[in-house]
Amino acid sequence: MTASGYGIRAFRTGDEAIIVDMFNRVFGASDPEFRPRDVDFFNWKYLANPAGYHSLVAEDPDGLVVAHYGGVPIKMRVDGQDVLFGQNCDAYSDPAIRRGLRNPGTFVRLAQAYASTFAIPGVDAVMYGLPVPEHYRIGVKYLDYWMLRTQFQLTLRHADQLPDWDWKTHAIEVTEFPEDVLALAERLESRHHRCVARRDKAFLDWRFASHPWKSYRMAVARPGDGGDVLGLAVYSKARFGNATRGILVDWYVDPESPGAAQSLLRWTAERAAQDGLHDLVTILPPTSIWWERFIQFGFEAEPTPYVMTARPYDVRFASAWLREHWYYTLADMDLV
Amino acid sequence: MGLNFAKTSDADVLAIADAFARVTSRNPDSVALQLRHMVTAHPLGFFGIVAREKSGEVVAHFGATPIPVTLLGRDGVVGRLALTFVDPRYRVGGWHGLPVEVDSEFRETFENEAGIRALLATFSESDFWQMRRLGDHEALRTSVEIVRTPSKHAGSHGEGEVHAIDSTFCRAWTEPFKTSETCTRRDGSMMQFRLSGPYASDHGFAIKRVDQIKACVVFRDSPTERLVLDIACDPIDESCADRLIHVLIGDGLRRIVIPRFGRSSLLLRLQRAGFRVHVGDEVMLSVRSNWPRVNGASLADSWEISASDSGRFALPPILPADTACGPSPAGTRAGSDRHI
Repeated sequence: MTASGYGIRAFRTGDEAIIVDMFNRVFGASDPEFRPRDVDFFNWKYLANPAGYHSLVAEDPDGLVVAHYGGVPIKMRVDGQDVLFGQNCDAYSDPAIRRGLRNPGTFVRLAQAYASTFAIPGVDAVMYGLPVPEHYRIGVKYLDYWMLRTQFQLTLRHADQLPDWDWKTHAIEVTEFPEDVLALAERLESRHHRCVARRDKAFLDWRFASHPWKSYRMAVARPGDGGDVLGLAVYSKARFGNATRGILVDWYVDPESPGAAQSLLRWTAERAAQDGLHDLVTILPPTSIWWERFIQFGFEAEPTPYVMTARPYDVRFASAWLREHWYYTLADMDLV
Repeated sequence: MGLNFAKTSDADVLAIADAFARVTSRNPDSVALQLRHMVTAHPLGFFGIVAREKSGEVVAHFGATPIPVTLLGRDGVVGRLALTFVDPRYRVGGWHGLPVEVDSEFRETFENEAGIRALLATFSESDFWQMRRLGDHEALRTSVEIVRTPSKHAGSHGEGEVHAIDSTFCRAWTEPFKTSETCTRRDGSMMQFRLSGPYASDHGFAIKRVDQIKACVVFRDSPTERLVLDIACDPIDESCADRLIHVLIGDGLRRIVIPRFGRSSLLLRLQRAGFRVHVGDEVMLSVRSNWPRVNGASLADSWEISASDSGRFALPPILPADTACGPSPAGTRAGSDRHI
């Protein structure tokens, strides 16, 4: 507890409603397109995450929760080892207690406590996020945000430029992911991605299938005769930047299976067309093999309003190493 | 420490060039040519601090070439670190090391309202994270390369009169060409500097419409590659943009590389003319500002930065290699001053 009587503690059952209410008041005030959250959403995002959750709150001298700092841990596989990264998100304070950037007070103390609590050995080796410029500015000034890179998006405007379906590899829409998606993950981790979120059934089903807004469509690619999973793609119609777009949210495909890529991209583009959307947008690291291939497929690079930040607390994850080796998509973020 | 710090002058050029060339394995004659041109020919001068041993040996140099800018609607000058090095024997880390001492001397001497309002730098990866902590540098952007492989250009030729930027053109170019309220201000004197001396074999073209400059480009040709050092265009004149790209591509027989930090209003048009965005070295461009409201975050979205503004490659190391990863700080410098 500080001298002025404010306290910082871990989230506990019963806090959900006030945290959600505060979130809706803070972010709903300025955005006409804002979609309010409810307790179900909070419980899905935090309590149902198979990797756990990180959540601290600040309470005033009367015990009322006045600020929240949340994090969504993600199980990573790095050179064959299990590591935890944490996406920092849902950080806000009740407008009634704010004193602006000149005197950040409670919120900054909460954020510093969050970093001190979770940026420790065995917990978050890296804390990351994709903040908008305003949040990035605050994060740099008070929260030790590190820029990882200027993040571009890839936009496809002419789906007819995509390679044709590969008739030997089927894109099969699913309502939950099959168990053998783990074999795909293990194969790609050992051969193509040194640093990547472990895309097993538990993570994928939590992230997409059990999302309370049911806004994703998911597909896996298999050979026509029913063999191993060769790739997966997840599509959503969602707001990105300041417009509603067709979003390729997740792309996890064996680079050695071009047919899987062809069929999954065609499947994704068809979903966007069905939604009446002409553009398909995605985010990939520019160092990944898929960046170059997507450009060959006709995607164009555009700047985004987002800054890719990653603050490493483990010497294995220097920024240059993360830029080179970390494969991430919008599945790793809470933007869509 | 017993070293002598002084402002860089023409008399220092050869000694600095020799020391820099030793540290970087570059040709000392070409370094001397480049540095002398910066020190003597730039219309806004040169900002440099040279550190010498008592013997007179040059052991460090922090130099910045000025760039006239308009940032957030205000005119001023920023500097870009260039020909900056620290002798390996003197690369000691922390507050009491020579690199930080020279940087402090440079900052106190030049980074003010009368001098440069902000300093750009492309530190090495290790140096950036240390200079962020020790020297108040902020991340601005990471680099990409916008590349076109050889092929004929089949797109629109656009509209506008094409003028070679030569001495005559530069003499007549007195009104700064600005693309927005956050941009580099280009005029004849700056272009004369960029296309003379060691850069005399570079090529520059301007596109005019209704007697107004609407776009310009400066590039350096080798037999197989065209390196674009500067490119700018009125963001709402699409025909002029097409004309500019057509001039840039030329016969299409060379690979064309545009090093870039962040956005460009030409980005989509370039891609539709056959350019592709590649990652390159992902060099970090940093900024340190003494200009109110001008910082990494406020500039990240708005300033279109060319290679001649930023440099292309990372500077030679100035500090010992170190990992910046470590435990969470108890509070950031800014945050620790606040209490509730």
